[in-house]
Amino acid sequence: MLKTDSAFQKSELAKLLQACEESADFLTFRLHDSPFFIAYFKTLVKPEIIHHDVLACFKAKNPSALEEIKAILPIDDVSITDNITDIQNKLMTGSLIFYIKEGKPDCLVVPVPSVEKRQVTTPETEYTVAGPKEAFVESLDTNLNLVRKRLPIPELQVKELVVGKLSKTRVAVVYVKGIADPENVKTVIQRINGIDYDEIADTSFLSQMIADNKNSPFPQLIDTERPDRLAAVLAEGKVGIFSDGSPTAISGPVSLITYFTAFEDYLSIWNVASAFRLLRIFAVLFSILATSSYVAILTYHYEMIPRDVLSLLITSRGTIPFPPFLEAILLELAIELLREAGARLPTKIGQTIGIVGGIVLGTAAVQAGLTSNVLLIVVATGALASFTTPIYQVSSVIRLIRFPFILFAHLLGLVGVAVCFALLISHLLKLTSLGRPFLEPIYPLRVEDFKDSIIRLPFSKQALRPLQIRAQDRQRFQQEASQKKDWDIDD
Amino acid sequence: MKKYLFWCIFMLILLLYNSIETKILEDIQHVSAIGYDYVDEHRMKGTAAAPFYPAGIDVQPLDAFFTAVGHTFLDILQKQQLESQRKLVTGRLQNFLISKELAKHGVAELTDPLGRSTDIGRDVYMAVVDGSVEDLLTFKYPNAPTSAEYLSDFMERNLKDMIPKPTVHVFLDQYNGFVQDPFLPIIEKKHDHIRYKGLALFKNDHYVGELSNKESYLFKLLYEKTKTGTDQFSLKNKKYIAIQNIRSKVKYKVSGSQDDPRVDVHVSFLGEVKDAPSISVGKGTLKEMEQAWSKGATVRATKMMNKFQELEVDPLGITEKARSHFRNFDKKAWDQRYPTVPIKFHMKIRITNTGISNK
Repeated sequence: MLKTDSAFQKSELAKLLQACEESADFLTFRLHDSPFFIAYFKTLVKPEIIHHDVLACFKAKNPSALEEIKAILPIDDVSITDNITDIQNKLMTGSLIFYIKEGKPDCLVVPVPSVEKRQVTTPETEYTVAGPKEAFVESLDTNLNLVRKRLPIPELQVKELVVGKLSKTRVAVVYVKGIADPENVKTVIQRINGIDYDEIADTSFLSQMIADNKNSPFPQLIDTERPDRLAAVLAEGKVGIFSDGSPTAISGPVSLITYFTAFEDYLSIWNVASAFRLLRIFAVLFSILATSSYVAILTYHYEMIPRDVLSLLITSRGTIPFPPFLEAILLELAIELLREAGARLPTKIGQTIGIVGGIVLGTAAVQAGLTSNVLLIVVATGALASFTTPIYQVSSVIRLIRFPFILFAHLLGLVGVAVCFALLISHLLKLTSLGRPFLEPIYPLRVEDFKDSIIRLPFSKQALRPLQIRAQDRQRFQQEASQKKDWDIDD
Repeated sequence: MKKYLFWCIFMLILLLYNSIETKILEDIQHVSAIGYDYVDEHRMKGTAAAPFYPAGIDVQPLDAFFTAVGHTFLDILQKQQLESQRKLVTGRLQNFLISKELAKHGVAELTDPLGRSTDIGRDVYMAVVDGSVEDLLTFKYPNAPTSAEYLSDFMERNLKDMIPKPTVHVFLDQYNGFVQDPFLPIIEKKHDHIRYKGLALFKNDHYVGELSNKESYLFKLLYEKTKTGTDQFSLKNKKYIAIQNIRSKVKYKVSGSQDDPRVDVHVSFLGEVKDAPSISVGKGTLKEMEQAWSKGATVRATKMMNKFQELEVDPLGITEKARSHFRNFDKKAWDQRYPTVPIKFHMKIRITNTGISNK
């Protein structure tokens, strides 16, 4: 079908076309008797535009040069180029090309991409009862749109990078110029540019690849699917990172306290929000320490058990053939299995598994004399408590670090629990997030940052942005004397 | 370096693990009450109540007792162990009983190890038993699943209102301390119940006398500030009135010189009339009641004090108050003078509330 032309045949364009032609979804054809060939991937373009606009226009005017086509096409961003990598990229992202098989291997590139995307829906892992119900989707441009809508200022800057040898993922680094510390932005861009990997499927890939400590179970950049939360942290001076095809954004630098903050905290009044934040901190501590304390106390420190609980514990543990350690590990593993199975199965079966597993395993294990009633309550409460963290990834971390605690409790009793806790704390002390201390404001102690950490003070007390982020402009607003009228009866 | 440190810690834990004895809850037998009877000059008989808890849901514990005759606390425990199916541990000990007979011969050998043992908790209640400890402990009481449970509830919750907290460590503190004589509650087995009888007074580690159960509430008023209990008194016309304690305070004032000391005890009592049958409570009667109480209470307190001075015991810790008042306190001289020191009581009462008896 193609008439051979040696000059064209040797060109890079021909090689590219030849490589593409091996795919079934690649189309290349000549229009009637005109000298132009058209080529595109039919799976990447919108056929309506090609048929109604491009071809109709082309047939009506019947142009004779590439420039002429460019002038008559009702589509913008059309370019003429002979840069082969450029052509390839465009072709792969939904463009059609016009080319001639004579003379220079120039190409007219017309972008007609067909973008398949999901509608913006409600957040699933970070659902709140009150507040906005928008969540990020897989399309980078939609996500940026959602953020820009909330921060409509030119200072909101987006740096776009391409990562991944095969996936060529578009990664956007977002920050507010003048607030965000340029050093943080520099660090993030530098680290992303340093990534050498073939495929980036999600922002979690980036999060792991650019983390300060790659062996720590704790994520050092927090992921969120809420545009409002991301806009809030950007306004604080943090740096946000998106990647195309991922419905979550990550942001940093963060501290440990961020794990306990939900966006809902800012939607309810400060004292209520603080109470729930304290509850979450307590829940996580409880979740980590409950089972291990049970094992330690039952194995070594029977003196600690109150008199009234003693008989209850002894009678319920009487038939159990295992030491408390094995008993606890068995039950913890059962709950982990249940959680994992529930997460992997489709929603409908998942629920069934949850109910069946919960009831059957729970009551049957007690009746069979494999675990005691008290442990069942301890483990179940611990599991429940671990899921109070607003960041999903952290809750699984918390569930995992319970196991070393249980082991240490078995080996050394409460001393072991203390040793394990010391190891955990020393690990957290060493962690950094984009070079900033992770345990801030507890260590290094920065008293003024406590206003939005363990508790949240009212907005009127938040005139300064947190110190940890090292914002360029620390002032949120000018704190002025209250203008409120206290009492108006005499007026 | 970091890895080296980690493995060091890990090895240490593994090494230590084999040297720690595990005490898994259900594999040990918890002694919840322990008591001692007098056998002869050197020996005593120990009875340990270590209830056995059968496995299962909603099961009642079974009474289990182990008795042995020996010379010391640990010796007896070792002999009791010979009969027990599991290891006897004293970490959850709740009651420590001594027979009156034994108390008369001195309890120093018995209580000394208690002070040093790490197994003895803070809340071990101590009491003197009038009669045989073994009988009191091993009796099957109709009102509780085990006798140990009855005893614990009895000591912990019931006696709280009537006497200062009688724990082992308080006893040891008073006994080992510089300036006070210990006291303990006396209990006895009456028919099929345990009954509080009064307060045993100790001189050093020997039982020397006792107060009746009626006097022991007044003793509590003089000993510490309290918020519990009721006191009863009668008016001239033999009408009895019960007043409930809202709060009471006691203050000791030492004056004079070391050669001629005087002690004033000020008790202020805020009470509420709970029960005043067939008396119309008005302003006048209230005043009359207040006067009647303080008069009666002063007489009772002075009588009690005379008893203490006669026995040469100082359970109220007046010596301690004198010591903190005088510079270069001479304990020997004070001990000789103690029976003759004039001690005056000032009992002040204010009845704030007449409750439902007000018409």
